Amino acid sequence: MEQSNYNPMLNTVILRNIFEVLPLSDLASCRQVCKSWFEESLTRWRRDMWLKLYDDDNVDVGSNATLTGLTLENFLLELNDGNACIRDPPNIEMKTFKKFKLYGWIFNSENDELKAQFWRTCGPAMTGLQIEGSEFCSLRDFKSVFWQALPNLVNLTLNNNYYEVDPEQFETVPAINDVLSNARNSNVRNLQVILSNSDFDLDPKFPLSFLEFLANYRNLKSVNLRGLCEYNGGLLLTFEAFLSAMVTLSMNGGYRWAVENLDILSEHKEKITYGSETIRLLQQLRFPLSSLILDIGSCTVPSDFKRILEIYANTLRKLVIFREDGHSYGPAVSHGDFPFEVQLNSLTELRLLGTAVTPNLNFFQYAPNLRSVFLVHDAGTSMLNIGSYLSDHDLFTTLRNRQNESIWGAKSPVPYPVGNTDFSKLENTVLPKMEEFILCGKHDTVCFPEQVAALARLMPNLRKVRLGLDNDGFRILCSAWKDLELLIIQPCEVNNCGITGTIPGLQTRLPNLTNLTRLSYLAFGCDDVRKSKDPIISYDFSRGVSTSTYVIEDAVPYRAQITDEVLQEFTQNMPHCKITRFNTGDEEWPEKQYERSSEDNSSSSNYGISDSEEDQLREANDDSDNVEPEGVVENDEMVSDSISDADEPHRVQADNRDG
Amino acid sequence: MALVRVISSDGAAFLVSQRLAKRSGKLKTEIETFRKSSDNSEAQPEIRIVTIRAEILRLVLQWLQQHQNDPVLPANQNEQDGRGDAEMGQSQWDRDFLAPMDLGIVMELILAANHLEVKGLLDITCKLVESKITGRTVDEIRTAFKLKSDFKGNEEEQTRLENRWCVEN
Repeated sequence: MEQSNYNPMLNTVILRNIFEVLPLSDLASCRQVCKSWFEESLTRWRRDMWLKLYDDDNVDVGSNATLTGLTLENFLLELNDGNACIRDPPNIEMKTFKKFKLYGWIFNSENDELKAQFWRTCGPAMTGLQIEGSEFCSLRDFKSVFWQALPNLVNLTLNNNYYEVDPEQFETVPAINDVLSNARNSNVRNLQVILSNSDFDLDPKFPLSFLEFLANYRNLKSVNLRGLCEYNGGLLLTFEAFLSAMVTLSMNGGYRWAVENLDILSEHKEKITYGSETIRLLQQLRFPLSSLILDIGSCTVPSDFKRILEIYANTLRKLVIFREDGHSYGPAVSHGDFPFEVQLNSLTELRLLGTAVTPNLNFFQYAPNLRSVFLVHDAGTSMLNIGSYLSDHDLFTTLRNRQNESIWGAKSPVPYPVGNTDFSKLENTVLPKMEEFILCGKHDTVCFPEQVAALARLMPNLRKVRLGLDNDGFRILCSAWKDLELLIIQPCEVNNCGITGTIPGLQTRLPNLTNLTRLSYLAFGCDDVRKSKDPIISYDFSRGVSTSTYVIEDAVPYRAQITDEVLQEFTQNMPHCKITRFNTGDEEWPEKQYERSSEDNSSSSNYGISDSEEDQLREANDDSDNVEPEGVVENDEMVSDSISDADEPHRVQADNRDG
Repeated sequence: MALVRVISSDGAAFLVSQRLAKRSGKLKTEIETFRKSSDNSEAQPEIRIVTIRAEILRLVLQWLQQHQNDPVLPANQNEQDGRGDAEMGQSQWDRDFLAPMDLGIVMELILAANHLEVKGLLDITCKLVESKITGRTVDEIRTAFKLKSDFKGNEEEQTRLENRWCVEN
C-alpha cells in the first residue's frame, strides 16, 4: 500500500481545519512550509489578515522590499493582471483580501482614479477597514469615504488621523430629522476610534458630530474608545458626547443600541473621575454589556463605581478595571470593598489592574461563576514573557507601558491581596469553575501555608496560578492542585528541598514538583524581588511525546536556592528534553526604587541560605536520593497527612539557621 | 430506545442510540433520510461509513457518549473575546482521552470528526495539532511533520515578503 508515502499533514481537509484554529502569527510560518500549505492557508489568510496599503501620493516609493505594506498602485496592478505579489494557485479562484489597513492616505476631493478603483473593486467584499495616520482634507472627503457602499463592513477603526475641519462645523448641530433621513444603514458591529495625539494637533476633534456619524451604525456590538481623546478632561467630555448622541438617536430615531463590549481604557495618563452625568447616560442606555474595560479613575468615589456595576450586574461576563494611584488628588479611595455588594452572577473573567486597585479576595463571594482572575498591580518581566500561556496576556504589555510613562511619584506599597483577605468571611464560598488565578505586584509576599490551604479550598480546580511561596506553601500547592498547567512562583522562597520534596533526615518524599504531572509552564521568581540582580536563565524543555512544552523561565535567585543540578535532574526525569540557556540581564521590576537598601540587606539574610548550608542541604538530598526507592510517597492521603509532621524537622532547621 | 447500526469501513458494526448518533450532524442527516425512505417506522437504520475504520469510529462514539449531555455549544457570543468554544469546552476527560494517541490517530480523528460533523471533537483534535505548531519556526515545523519545501525560485522569499504586508489586527 502507499501508506508509507502518505503524509496526513498534506491532507486538504486536515490542513484547512487546523489552519482555521491556528493563531495568525503561526499561520504566517505555516505558509512558508511548502506549496500545499501555502495554498491551503490562503482562504483564512485573506479573510482574517489585514493588508497594509500605502497611498502612492504620500509615500516615497523606494524599493518595495523596504515597505511593510503594499502601495495602492502595486496592489491594484496585482489584482488586475499580475500574480507576482499576490500569488494564486491556478486552481483556486481569486480570493481578494477582505480587511484593509490604510496608512498615510490623503483623502481629498480631487478625482483620484486609483482610489476610486480601490473602493469599486474591494468595497463590496470588504469586512474590515482601518484608517491610520491619514489625512482628510475636508468634511466632504470624510463623508465620501464613510458613505461609500461597503455593505459587508463589520470592523471599522479610525486611528490617529488628521481631520482638516472647519471649526464652524462644530457650531451647527444638525437637525435630527436630517440626520435620520441621510443615515445609511450599515452592518458595522465593531467600532474603534482613536483621536490624534500628535504634537501639532493639540485639540483633536472628531470631524463629524457623533449624532451624524452614529446614525449610520445602529448595529454596533463593540465600541472601543481607547484614547478617544487624551487632553485634559477630554476623554470624558468626548465620551459623554458620544453617549448622548446615542441617547438622542434612541429617543428620536428608535435606535435600540445593543452594545455588548465597551472598552474605554484610556491609553494615556488621564485623570478621570466618573461622575453623575456619565452615569446618568449609561443608565439611560442600559447596554446589555458582556464585557466592560475601563479606567475607573483615581478619584471616582465608590458609590459611583457601584452604580456603574449595578447597571451591568446581570449581563457582565468580563470586567477589566484599571486604576492608577491618585497622589496629586490626595489619598486614593479605597477600593477594597469592590464590588460593593453588587452580585455579579454572570462574571467569569475579572482583571483588577493598576497600583490603586487594592482589593482583598472578599469579592469572591459576590461572583460565584468566576473562571479567571488577575489581580495585577504591576506587570513584571515574568508576566510579560508569558505569551499565550495565559489569556489576555496583552493586558500586561498595556499595563507595563503605562507604568513606564508614569508621571505620579513614588507609589505607596500595595497590600498583598491574600494577606488582606478575611478568609473567615469566605468559609461558605467555593468557586469550582476557577481555573486561572494570577497575583502580580511588586509588594507581593510569600503566602503562609494556611493561606495556600485556604486558597486551595476556595478554588479547588485551579489550572494556572501565580503566587508567592516557600517550601511549606509549595508542598500544599503540589498536593492540592495536581492538575496545574501553569505555575509561577514569585516571590520564590522554595529551595532544593521544596522542589524535590526531600527533607534531611526524613526518608519519605513530601509532595513535590513531580506531583504536577500536567505542568506545561513553570517559572520560579527570585527569593526576594528586590534582590534580583542576576541574569535570567531560561530552561526550555520541549517534550517530544506529550502535547505540552516544558518551559522553566527563571529569574534565578540572588543566591540560587534551587540549584541547576536539581533542575537538571527534574528535566532528566522527562524524556526528550531540550535545554537552552541564555542570558538577558533582565529583571523582574526594572524601576530603580527597588534597589536593595541597607535595611533590606540585614533582614534578607534571614531567608537567604549561605553556601555552606546549601552544601549541607545538597548532601542531605543526596542521602535521601539513595533511599528513595522505598521512600517515594505515591499515596495522596499519606502525603497530606505527613505535611504537618514532616514539617517539624524542617522548621527546626530553619530556627537553627536564624539562631 | 431507538437504535442505529453504524458500520465502519472494515465492517465492524456499532449499535448506538439514535439520540447519541444524532449528535453527529452527518449521522443525524442519514437517520432522517432513512426515516423518509423507509415504510416501516420501526425499522432499525443502518449506516455505512466507508471512510472510517473501526478503531477510529469507536473513538468518535466514545467521545460522543462522554459528551452526550453537553449543552449544544452556543455560537461564539462575544466576538471580541476571541475565545473559541474549544477552549471553553475542553475538559479533563478530553485531555486524558487524547493523551495516549499518536499523531496518526489524531489525524484520522480529525478526518472522522470532519466527516461526521462532530464540532467539539474536531475542535479539540485540531487544537492538539495546533499546539505542535505554535511558537515553532518554519524549519521546526517541517521537521516535526516530515515535510519538505517544494517552493521554486524565489517563491519562499516572496511569501516571506508578503507576510510583512499583512498584520493580525
